[in-house]
Amino acid sequence: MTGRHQRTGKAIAPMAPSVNPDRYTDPRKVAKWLKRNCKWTFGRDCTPGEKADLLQWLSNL
Amino acid sequence: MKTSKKMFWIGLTTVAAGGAVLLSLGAGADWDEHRWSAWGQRADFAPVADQAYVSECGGCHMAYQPGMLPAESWRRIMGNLQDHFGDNAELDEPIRQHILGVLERNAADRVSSGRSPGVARSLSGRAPLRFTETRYFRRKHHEIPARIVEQNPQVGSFANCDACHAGAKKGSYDEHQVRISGVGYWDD
Repeated sequence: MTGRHQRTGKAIAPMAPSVNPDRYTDPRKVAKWLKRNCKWTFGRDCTPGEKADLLQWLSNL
Repeated sequence: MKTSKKMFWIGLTTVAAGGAVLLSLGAGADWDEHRWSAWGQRADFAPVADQAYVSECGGCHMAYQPGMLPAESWRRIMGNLQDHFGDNAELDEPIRQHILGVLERNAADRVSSGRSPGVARSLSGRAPLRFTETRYFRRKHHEIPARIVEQNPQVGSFANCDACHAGAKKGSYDEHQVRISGVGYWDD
């Protein structure tokens, strides 16, 4: 279940709240990582709709 | 007061005062920021226990001791977090400023203990982005073949200090405590 950061090798805890209930309980942390990962992936901020889609998908896993 | 009773009270007061000192040390920001490894054991690089630094930076990689690089290096790193060695590591401005302050105050050219002054001297004004690029680091690691680090899936990179230095997170890099995964203890 636990993943690893591709470059640093650091452990990444499961993303799905069904197995890791702490996920998405800290709004500041959620905002920070959405900002970082959207910019890294798309080169821009995600729209509110895109963020909602991703969170909904992860929450239903 | 009888002597035995007096001794009892002195003892009790001493214990209470000791507890108060421990409590205040635990709560004090200065203590946190400059705390060294357990009980007086000298750290090679003084570890920093600043909560924001440990959680924000240590969340993705080992929270490198600030004394590994000079203040100018930390300013360069913290000024380009949107491309942090290939990853986006942007922070909100107040927290970025706070962490930069912690790094600057504890940088290699600011602290006088452990290995930091040696690192700063060896740089003679240069401000590299990576500790592994410093001559100081290379001199200490030239006997380690890249094969057993970079091609070793348990290690991956020389930047992964705590893969081999068990005390790395506490700032201890004793050469007699080096254990390379899949290779064993390394003592030269």
